[in-house]
Amino acid sequence: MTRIVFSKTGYAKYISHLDLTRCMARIMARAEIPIWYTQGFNPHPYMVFSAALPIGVCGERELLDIKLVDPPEYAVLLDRMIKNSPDGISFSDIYDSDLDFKYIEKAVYVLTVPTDLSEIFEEFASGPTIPASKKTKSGEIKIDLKEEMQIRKTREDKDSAVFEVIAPCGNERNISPTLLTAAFAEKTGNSSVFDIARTAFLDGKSNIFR
Amino acid sequence: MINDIDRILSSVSKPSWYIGTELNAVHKDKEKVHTRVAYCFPDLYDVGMSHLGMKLLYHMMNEREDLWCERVFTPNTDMEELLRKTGTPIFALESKDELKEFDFVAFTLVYELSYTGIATILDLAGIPLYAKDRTDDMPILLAGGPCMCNPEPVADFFDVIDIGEGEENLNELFDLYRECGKNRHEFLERAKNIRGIYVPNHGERQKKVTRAIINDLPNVYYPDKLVVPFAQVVHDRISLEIMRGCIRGCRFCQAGIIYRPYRQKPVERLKNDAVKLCQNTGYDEISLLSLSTSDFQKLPELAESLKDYCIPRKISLAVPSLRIDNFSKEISDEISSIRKTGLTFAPEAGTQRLRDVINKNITDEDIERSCKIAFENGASAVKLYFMIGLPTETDEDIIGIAKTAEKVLDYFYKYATNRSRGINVTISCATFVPKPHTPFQWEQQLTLGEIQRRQELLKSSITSKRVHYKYHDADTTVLEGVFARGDRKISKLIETAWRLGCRLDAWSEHFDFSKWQKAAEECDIDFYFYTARKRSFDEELPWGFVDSGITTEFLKRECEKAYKEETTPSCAEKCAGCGVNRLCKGDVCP
Repeated sequence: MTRIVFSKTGYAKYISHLDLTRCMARIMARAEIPIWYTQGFNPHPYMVFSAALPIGVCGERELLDIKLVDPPEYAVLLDRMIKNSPDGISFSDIYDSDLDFKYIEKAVYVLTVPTDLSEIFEEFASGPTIPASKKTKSGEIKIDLKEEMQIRKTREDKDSAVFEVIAPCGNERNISPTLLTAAFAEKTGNSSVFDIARTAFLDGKSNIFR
Repeated sequence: MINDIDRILSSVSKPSWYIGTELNAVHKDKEKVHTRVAYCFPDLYDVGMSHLGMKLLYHMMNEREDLWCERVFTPNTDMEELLRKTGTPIFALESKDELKEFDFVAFTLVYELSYTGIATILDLAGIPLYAKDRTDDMPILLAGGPCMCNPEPVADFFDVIDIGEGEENLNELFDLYRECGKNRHEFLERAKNIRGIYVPNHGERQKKVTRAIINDLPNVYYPDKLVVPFAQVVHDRISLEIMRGCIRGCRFCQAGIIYRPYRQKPVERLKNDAVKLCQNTGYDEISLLSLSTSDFQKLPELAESLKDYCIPRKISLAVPSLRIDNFSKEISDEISSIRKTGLTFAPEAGTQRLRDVINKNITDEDIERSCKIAFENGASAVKLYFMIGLPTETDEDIIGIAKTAEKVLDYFYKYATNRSRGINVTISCATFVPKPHTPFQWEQQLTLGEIQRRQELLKSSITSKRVHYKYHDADTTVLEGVFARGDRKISKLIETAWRLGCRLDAWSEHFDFSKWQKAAEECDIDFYFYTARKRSFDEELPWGFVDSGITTEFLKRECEKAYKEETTPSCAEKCAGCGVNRLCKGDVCP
């Protein structure tokens, strides 16, 4: 399997996962990547994404697996993909990997909070519980984000404070960081939009998943 | 502002409609251009982004180094609410700048029911709707598109209206703007001298405006790239226009008149354009666009030349607008060799008599022959387009529609090679709206009650479960008729209805006829004065000052022939003398 590392930032964070898959297929077509098509009545390019990003969340190291029918030099392919991408989508690496995405259990998110809110946010994040509601197929359920996520401040400068959030992101359990910002908005009545970016995936031993 | 927009995009549905960073979207440095154009489509993104004309002119305008054209669409209702709640003016997608900063705010008007979208966009931009209420520092309001062959219903709103083919005169218009050094009055006055340009609210009124026509279609600009939306849109594929105009002369058809003369593009050029468009977009489908694709003489040759490029890349070729009468085996083979698409035909009327009246020269034998080819090639779905309310229509003609559909079923059982897959026949039935510049421009349109009666009659005439019947709401048709043949009084109606809350009228979930009726009452307008009244040949028509190139004498002659149930041969067979060649250089007609 060929693994591609890509980013989805800027306005591209507003593209839904379904739209991203279509966009990727078109990037591959434009870049003339010799991608393997599924065999069947309606063949389509075979692509597997690590995990869908919630709308509004940037991704800095997202993973995509494809199969190539005729593998040319990876550096050349990478270059062609970069040149054929719309604004906000880019590619940083391409390599062989057989490590299945099912070994991903968590993801690291980086939240950037404006200075004037950083104290309130820190207080909110360090409270004993963070009640939130999560929509599931069987309706809305109440969860405590405190139990689900690890939140810590990693940096603070003149304009903003940066928080690192580690949350479940696997087949079994997936908790979106937007639940945290929604809970914050609900509790404080502040509807500011924070920059959120997913920066890495972790396996069960909390090692970076490549 | 960007921060506000971020906040809005985080809570709106379909945020990717408003981000403006799609592939091939044009971004320029606003300090380095002379003219900025906010190009608006007065309906939702997924409809606007499906419209070829807008995409074509967007890229054409952006070819100019001195101009930056950006896109604007009517926001969906949740977006409109968010913009209002946050006090954010509507913005152009690419720069996110508000519309007041632009030199031109241009609208493309493709169907009448999009007219309230003009009011929505201008209101959200803080720009007065009526030209008379705008000050000199405001953008110049420009309109174009097929609806502008009768510009009067919206003429009060615009400063400049472009009638005809924009590829022909837009560059001249922007050159003039530059020459006038942004002097608005001088620009508006001198713009009247450009063919196709109508200046409805400045100085002396023009007595005649002649439609702009491309003389050299084979070499006219066509984009080699298209903006590729992130979100799925209605027509999410490459549109390749293969010809303009139509040789057929169906008497109800406005497009058949206002895109005259009939001009084809050379296969070599089309192939080059198609390959470039595929390379630059990554689309996996090409749709060959024209009013009547099977009249394109070199269709098999074109399909053949595209095959080598398309098949290995799994790109499919869609061929809409096929006519039933010359649907040949050869064409059918070419299409199915790339990917099978459903069959769509438009007999338009249910009896031979009525088809003669409207000059749709298709016979029952043509229908049988085409069905035979299609079914022998494995087709299992047929869509048939009809119209009700055509001039001289009787109940027998309505019942004839159901009979035609059932005949198609019979042909399936007679000819199909694989009957086990079954057959679905869909009858899609529009109601006839008399359109300006057609031989039927003087005709009556059915009243609301009569449309409903005939729709019911058709419904009850269909006996087979394999025939599905689709039709439009009667009330939208009435309104469309009012706009199509309206005069200047209609602008007040549009404004009033918009104020009463009418939005996105082309969408049945938004369309509210009672509000339109209320608006009509307020404006003292009788819909039936515009639609249900037969007009005499002597009546002065609101669009009479627009010279489409086709003479009124020709239209009258065709109208009289219709009542005599006499047909007129296609332009390819015999020139009918419509007069359009007066406006063209050289020998453009077939």
